[in-house]
Amino acid sequence: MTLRLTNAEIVSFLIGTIINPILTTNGYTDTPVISSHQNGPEPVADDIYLVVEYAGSKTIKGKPRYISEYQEETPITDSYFNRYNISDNEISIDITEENGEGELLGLIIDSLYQRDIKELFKSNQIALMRIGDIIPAPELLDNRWVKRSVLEIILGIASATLEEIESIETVQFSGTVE
Amino acid sequence: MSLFQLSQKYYAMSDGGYNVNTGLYEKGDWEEYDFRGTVQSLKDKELENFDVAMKEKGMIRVYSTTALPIITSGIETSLGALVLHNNRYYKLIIEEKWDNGIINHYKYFGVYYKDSLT
Repeated sequence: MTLRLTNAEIVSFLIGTIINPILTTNGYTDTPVISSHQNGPEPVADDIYLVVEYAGSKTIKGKPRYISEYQEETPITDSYFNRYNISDNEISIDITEENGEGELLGLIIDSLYQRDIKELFKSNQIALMRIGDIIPAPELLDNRWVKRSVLEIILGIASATLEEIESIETVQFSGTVE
Repeated sequence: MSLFQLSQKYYAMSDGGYNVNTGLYEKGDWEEYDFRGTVQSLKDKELENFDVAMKEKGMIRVYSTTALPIITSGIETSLGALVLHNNRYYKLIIEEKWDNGIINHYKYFGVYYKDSLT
């Protein structure tokens, strides 16, 4: 059995718990923040909105860590361990500011270093590994420049596989030695 | 007063919105509207103008003095009007406006969409 936060859960956490509260605190109460690649309409026309996109993941190379939980059944000789094989993963997230020049992305970068924001990551078992640069990515559409800026952040999550390992604790012999 | 006396129904999706907590788009509901017009199958000659895929799905034409919303993109929220005909739903893809000063009306072509909206 695999235990891992889904990409949708990570994106949802960023939007609902991190980015929207940061924007609201700073007075941007009407700026939409949406998940990417949906079959929905553009949230606002010709105005600033943010798009959060899962942009890839990689498993950090190295030996997996193990955590074991001792379980016991009756009779005592049928005990087993739950063993979690834990790996570390980096998740790349792109935050795009549509129709803007990156002011809101700058605001988000500054806020990510705040102590209470870091605590929110920690309490949701997500590590904020690296924060990238704001990169302008304007696009020419129908003879009109559309402003766009992109910020990449790298998050760290642990994933685990669970396996049951049977073990024999006690072996008893009975009989007569001749 | 409409020149077409038969009562027909079409369905259009109400506006949805983005959930603040998840950033996911939540679709609106299908809402029922009445209009007066006629809904007919296409003649063989008319069918020749359309792709095989559309013809095989099934097509209708709609005449009405009421302007109906037509499809603006392939996504479900932009399908426009779904006209109910013979217990099947058809999405309107083409609008022809006939302003000849005698019987001004709209003609629409529709392609089969699905049997149920649930």
